[in-house]
Amino acid sequence: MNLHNTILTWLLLIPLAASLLIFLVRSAAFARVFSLLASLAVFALSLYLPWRYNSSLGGMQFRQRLRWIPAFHIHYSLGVDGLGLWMAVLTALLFVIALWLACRRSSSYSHGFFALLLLLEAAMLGVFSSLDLILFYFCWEFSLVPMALLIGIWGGPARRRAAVRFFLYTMLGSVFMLAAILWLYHLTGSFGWQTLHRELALRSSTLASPLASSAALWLFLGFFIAFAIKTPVFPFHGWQPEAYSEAPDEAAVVLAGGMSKMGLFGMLRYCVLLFPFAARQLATPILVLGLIGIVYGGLVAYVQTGMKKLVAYSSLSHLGLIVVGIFTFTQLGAEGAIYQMLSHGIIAAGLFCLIGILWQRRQSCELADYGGVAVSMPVFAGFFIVIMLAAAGLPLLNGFVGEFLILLGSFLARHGVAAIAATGVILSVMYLLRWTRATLWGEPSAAVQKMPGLGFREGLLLAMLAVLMLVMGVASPWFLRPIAPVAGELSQTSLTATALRRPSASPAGWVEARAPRRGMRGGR
Amino acid sequence: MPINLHLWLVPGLCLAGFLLNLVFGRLWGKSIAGAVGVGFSGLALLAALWVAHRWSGAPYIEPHATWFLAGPLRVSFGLFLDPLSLLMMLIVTGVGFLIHLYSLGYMSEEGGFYRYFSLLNLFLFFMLTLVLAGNYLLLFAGWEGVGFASYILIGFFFRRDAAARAGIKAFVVNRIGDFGFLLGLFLIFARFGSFNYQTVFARAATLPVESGWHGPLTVIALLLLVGALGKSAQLPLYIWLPDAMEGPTPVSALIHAATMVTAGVYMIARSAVIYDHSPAARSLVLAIGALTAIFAASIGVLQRDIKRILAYSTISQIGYMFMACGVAAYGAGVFHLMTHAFFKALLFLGAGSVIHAMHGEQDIFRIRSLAPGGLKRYAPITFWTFVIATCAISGIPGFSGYFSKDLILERVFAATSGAGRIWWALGLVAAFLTAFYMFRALFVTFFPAPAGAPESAAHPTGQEPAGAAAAGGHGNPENAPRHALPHESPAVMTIPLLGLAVLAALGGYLNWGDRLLHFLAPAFSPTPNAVAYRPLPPFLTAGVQHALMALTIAVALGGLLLAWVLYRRRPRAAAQWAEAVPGLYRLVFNKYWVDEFFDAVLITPLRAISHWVLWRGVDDGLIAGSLRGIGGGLLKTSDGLRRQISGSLRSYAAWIAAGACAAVIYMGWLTLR
Repeated sequence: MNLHNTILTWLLLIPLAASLLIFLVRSAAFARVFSLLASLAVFALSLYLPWRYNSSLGGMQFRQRLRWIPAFHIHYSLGVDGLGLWMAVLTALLFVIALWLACRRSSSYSHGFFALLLLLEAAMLGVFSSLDLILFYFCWEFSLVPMALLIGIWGGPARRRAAVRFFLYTMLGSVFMLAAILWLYHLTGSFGWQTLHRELALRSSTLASPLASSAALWLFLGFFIAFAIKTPVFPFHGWQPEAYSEAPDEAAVVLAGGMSKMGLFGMLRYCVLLFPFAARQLATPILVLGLIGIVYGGLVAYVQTGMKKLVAYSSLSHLGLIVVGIFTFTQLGAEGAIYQMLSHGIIAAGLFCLIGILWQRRQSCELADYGGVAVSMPVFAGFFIVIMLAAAGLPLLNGFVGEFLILLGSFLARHGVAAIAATGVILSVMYLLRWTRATLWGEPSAAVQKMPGLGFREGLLLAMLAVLMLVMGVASPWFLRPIAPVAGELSQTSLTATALRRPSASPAGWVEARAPRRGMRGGR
Repeated sequence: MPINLHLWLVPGLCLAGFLLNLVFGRLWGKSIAGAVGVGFSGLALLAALWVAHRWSGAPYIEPHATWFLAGPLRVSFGLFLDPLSLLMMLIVTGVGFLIHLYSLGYMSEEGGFYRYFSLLNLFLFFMLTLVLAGNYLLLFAGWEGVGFASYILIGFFFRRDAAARAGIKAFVVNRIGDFGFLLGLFLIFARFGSFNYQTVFARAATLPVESGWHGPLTVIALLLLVGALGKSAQLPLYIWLPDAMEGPTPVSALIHAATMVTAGVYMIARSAVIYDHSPAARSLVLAIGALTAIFAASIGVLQRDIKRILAYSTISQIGYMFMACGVAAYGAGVFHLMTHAFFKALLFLGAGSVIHAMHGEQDIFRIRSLAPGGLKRYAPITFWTFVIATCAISGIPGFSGYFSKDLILERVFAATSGAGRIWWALGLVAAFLTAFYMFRALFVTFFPAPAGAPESAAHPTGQEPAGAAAAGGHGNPENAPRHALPHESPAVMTIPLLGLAVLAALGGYLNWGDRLLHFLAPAFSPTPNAVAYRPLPPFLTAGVQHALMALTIAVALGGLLLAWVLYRRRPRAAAQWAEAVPGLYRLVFNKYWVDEFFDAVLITPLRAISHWVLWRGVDDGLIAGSLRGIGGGLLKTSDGLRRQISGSLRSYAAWIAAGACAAVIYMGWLTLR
């Protein structure tokens, strides 16, 4: 088979195989080098996706579909659209960053650490590329285990509690999602995402949906809870600050940069695209949660004393903004949301790289232990400022593009929502500049003065991140092109108009149009 | 097809200088770093002059790569040249180059030389992007960029906590303004479907002039105004500018006097079409400008730190520019922007030269006591250029500031009537105060103490003002050299002083016969059907004009005279006056306690609520608590379950397997049923 139709499988197989090999060889030295090579290979291969994706055609591409469990119509079905492909590329990049950080000679990680990271990579790539709900669920759950183990074994002092909480809480959400998936199968007889999408979303505009509106709402909520916990969306973030701060830095890069995008990805791919009407009916409460997240996360980040928790709450704020972009249903907002998922992934990874580099020198994440780092590490200070500015959304860096598109899009839909969301631009500089001052500026203490400057490996990593942030900030059309088709679908204005302007009339039309139990089950 | 002006070269050269010093600055020594920094700003000036020379006079659009392409949104990096942006470009590169040159001498003893020049070049890049942008979004990019450059340069002496804090304050307050600016941009896009100047102005020009406060153009104008208030340090968002004086003095001259802080005026003048359609918004601009002018001038009267005096005078002078925009006399506002750039840059560089001469001392009274026989004996060039600049800012006839300030007051008088004249009167009083506090600064700084002057004149409370500490602005104290006597600055610093002195003295004649106003006029009414030049109302006859002129002159001379009397002739009088009204004196001396007010009402409660209510209360208490509650509840339910939860993580894999089995069984049941 040609590469075009098997590329996604290769992306899954390489980390999986590398992980198994590392488990078998059981050598940390081998694992350090080999895992980085494998992740680099995956990243290089993942670039094939944006390179060859046909943006004018849109839709799912690079598809591969094999029978898996025929009795239940479960397929091994892969494919990505503009959303999935950037998430796959982001995942591949994040693991390069994480393994790059982890491959330092002084690291005390055993081979299991690297094997688990690669296993996690395979699972996350599966989440972003699967087109079968069971396969998706399988990958989703499967990603949970390596991350929980990474936190629980190699994490900070409170790692056990953080891991258990992380695991239990996200598991709790997944239960709802599993129920929703099974119920959906029960109603429609299919696990295929594309079949469901065709039947549920596209036909719903012709008032011939096989779903009752109440069923759609409950199904939507089942999915949404899982995704909201994973992202996390306020108030489902109870697991997040502790998990972020206890996770080893390499895992935190993936956790903050990539796993949070799994939740947002799910909201877009499953909640909004499969249940467009329910999404629009529930948009207002979700928007309120997103807005609370923006303000609340920003304010709480502002008073943090530890860097990791500061990043955790700032993520809550940034992710809230993405939720706003998704649930205002505009072309610009949706493009901005997807772009910001990519962009925030890189920024969050960059922030944790900074923290990791500091940690290796000072064994502390407390703001009070720093100050004056710019004296002992001037080059590091420069990169710190660039990444901080990207997070603060300074124009010409990547953070601005997504933030601006989201705010503009949501403004076009609802002025008030955008006005509240835009307070994030004030809050973000408040906590980021406070962090910068506490870390970089001031007179260095004796301990800070002893911190060695940036090594070549670290400098190269940060330089690449900084260049990437700049490129994404000025050449956004190149990144936005594949996103446009899926964003158009996410924001179908006719749906918004029907669902919002005539809330009583339109659902009534498609609600009772069909009895719930029928529909596609007959067709299987 | 018009000739290609290669406008991009002007900011591009500054960017190149920034990158070169950023990458190689650590490798090469001070001399090369300085040469690169100054050289590239000089090249940018040459490029700007070349552009000006070849420009045909018609609005020129230079297309560049696309920045945003999403749905209906299409934004490019395109640049734009019209009389307004040409003038701004020349001011920025011209004054910028002189200040770069001056910095060679001023910063020669400081660490981080290459860092300083690369950041100064970066600032020029963003500032030129701001003024040459062809659309609002690119303007915003420059706008945010100069905000960052300002933040990082204020905190240049980053070891000092006060500098770091001042940088943060500047950035955050600016972001508060940008919040409004952003919403204004959104509304522009929502109404006009584009950010391009041409499109926006052409569509706005077809709309009727709005009355009241609810029209779309009025709301846009008000939101843009919020941004301008932050950037240009007007009431109530001026609070960051005095603190910004923590930065190196040339930075204060370039960013916080001549160029960046006037960006708000530029933006309003650029949006003239929008403001023309909204008398309500303009009236607010006028009121804020006049109130700021008098408010800041009154604070300047009692300041002792020479840089802070200048900071408050900057706020006050920008208030005049806002007043001009408020009566749709954008040309007059930009004229004052230009003369202000000359004389205020000169004042700051002169102040820098004084601080340099005094080894870091910034308190004008202590300068006087440390320079026996008056500083003017030791630093004659600094003194005479400072005199020129003081005359210019005070509106002494013949100097540049006189022409522009007189023009603004005349236009405000012409455009208002009845109670509206209060703004004009405030402007006049502010002009009096300006002349007074500037000549006070001049007399105290450069002249020997008159016989019988108390050591801390006009300072009966005896408390030390904040920020007037020794070595306040001149670098790291440990780097500051200690000489015995004050000295004149080296030639590399005095040449820029002389250059700016010529401009500050003669810059006003650029508008001889309203030439500058005519030149600028097309920029404010870019659509052919709009009125090209606003005629004066009929009641403003030559006689009235002359009377107004005489009044302005009288006010300026009055201020001069009062300063002369209080600080040269009767040195005890100032203290006696202050003791006569102790309450008022303390109110003004402490800058109306505005900073303290914001701290008490906004910052402290915000921090406390965030910490105790949101973080400790909601997050630790409710959200994490409920999580513990759920966990605890589960634990109590079953002992067997407890083992699973608190046990080894490996067992969770088994849980997943069990869940999957359950799912498969359920699905089997569904199929077989």
